[in-house]
Amino acid sequence: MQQYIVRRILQSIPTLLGITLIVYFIMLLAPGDPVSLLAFDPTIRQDERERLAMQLGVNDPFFVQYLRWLIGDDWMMVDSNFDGELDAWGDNYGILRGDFGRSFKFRGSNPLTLISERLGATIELNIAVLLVGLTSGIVIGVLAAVMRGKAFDRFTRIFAVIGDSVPSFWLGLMAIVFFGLMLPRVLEGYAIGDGRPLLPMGGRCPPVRGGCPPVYMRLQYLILPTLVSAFGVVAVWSRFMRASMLETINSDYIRTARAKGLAKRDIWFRHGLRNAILPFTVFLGPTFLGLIGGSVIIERIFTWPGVGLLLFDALLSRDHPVIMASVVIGSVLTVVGYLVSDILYAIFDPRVRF
Amino acid sequence: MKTKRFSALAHVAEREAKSDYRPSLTLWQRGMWRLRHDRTTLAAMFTVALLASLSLLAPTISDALNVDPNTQDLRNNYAPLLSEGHLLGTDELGRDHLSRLLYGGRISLGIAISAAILTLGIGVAVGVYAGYYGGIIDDAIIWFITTLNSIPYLFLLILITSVLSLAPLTLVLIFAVLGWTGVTRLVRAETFSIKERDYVIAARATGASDWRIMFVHIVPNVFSLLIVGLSQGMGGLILTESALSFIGFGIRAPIPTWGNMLNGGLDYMRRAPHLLILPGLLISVTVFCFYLIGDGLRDAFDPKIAD
Repeated sequence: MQQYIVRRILQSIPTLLGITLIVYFIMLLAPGDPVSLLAFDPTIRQDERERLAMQLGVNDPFFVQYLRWLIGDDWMMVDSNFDGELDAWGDNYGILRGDFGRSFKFRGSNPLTLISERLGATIELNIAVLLVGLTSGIVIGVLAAVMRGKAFDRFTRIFAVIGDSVPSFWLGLMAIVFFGLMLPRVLEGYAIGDGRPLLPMGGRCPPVRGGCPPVYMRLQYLILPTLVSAFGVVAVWSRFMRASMLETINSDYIRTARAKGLAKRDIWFRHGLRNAILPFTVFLGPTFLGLIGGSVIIERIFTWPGVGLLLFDALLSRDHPVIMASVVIGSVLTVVGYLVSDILYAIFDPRVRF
Repeated sequence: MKTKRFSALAHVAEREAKSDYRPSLTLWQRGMWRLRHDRTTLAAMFTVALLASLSLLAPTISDALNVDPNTQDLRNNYAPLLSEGHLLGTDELGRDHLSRLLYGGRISLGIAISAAILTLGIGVAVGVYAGYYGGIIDDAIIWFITTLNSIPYLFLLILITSVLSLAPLTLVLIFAVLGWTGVTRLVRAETFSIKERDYVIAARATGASDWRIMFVHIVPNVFSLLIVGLSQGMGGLILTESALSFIGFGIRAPIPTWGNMLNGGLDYMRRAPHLLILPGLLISVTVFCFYLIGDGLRDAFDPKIAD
């Protein structure tokens, strides 16, 4: 077991390296070279440009630049005063030691600090989505399998396809139109409320100084984004749960339990569900990944101040260090998510051999 | 000896001709038969065909209604549904909403369909190659797939689309370059099991080349997987394209797509909610139909389901 975990962790190292390679390569394709960006000066002389280019190292081969970005340059001599001679140690620590450079937009702050400030919001929302989505998905799926062929089952199957097809951003917009505009108007007609939305339509907490209060003080801000995001999760998980539960129900040991005369509830939930739920540790990774990726959209619609919104703003203002840091951190989280889900699977399923 | 065997065959043929014996249906024939009797799938196919032909006829329909997707009329913006001259109203710049929806459908459907086909092509080629040869090439491909799949898909997409300037054709290429991994995994796994079967070994024994084995003997056997993947891929790509265009990193105005027609919708939803409802409804219905078709095709061509 320990051997398996260690091997699995070692396996993710080449993946992480590959991720940094891909991200760096894509960013090199970005229009506008750093020299013209930094020296935004029409009177700059050609030899000054060349010196600046040499100092920034933009003429170096791809892999040299990549390595400098990855492991930093504080172990080599660089040209610090533009005179074409190597005269000082570098001061860039490289992303492996947490140095993603400095944000262009937020006055030189460290991208990692920016991300860690926002990560809490993203994780808070995603935990809420997972809680709501998984619980209802599993319950709906199990009930559908138990009531196979009945109206409830047929309804959930249609619901699952609909849940896959409706884009979450549109669902979010519709939720805002309905809860923010239509419902208050209708309620006002019946003299309930004053025509203002019943739920906050965006943000994480009321705009006050000193950050947001603890979660339980502002649950109403979580409701809409969570429900909209969880819709797709419920669709996927209820379908998988139904299939897995059906497979389990038709297996021999369930027949044995039935022959013994156990109560139906015991059969389904104590014998069936335990085994049917096993494959789902595997789906946790992909679900988590989907949620991180989708955070850009959900956070944009509900102006939820998380990493997705940070990435969105960074892309609009071409804040390259922040963009690269968010993508790399998002990918690292994904890799960790896959890792945890694989290890959980190995722990929970004794049939897995290492 | 030889004559005896022939006569035995003749006897069987004779018996078959006399009785009401029917030759067993091939997988393909049985699938088509099932499809023809599956009303849900047929209805979904009909809807997609309808939407596709309406989009194709966008110029004709717009001419007939005497509207244009790009003509602005600022005195007549935010016109409601069923207003005079504009069946589905006008948007914030007074452009006709119906014709923009139709033209948008051309781009959205066009991108999704061509990208799905291209994805499938790359996926099958790489998957069969990796599965057939195995070894270090296979390891490298699997490493690349794992890596690519570990970067949140939407992050990667907006990273690329924010760097490159976008024409619809570029977007198709990007989708294909990023999307082939799923098909490759499927095809590779199938190829692993198929290449050990007797008929492949027999083909090799008769001197068939690797290419012939791969594309004449293996690919047709993963075909039923592929048409299901194609239909679901199209649905998924419509969703991705519209999400991308919605947050402003896909196809940009003035070219209409269903996704970017929703872009900025947060700003004018108070005045004209129908501008938000219709494009999203079209996206949802189209994707719903593509997924239904995928499910129907899988059921129809699944050899494990008996009649």
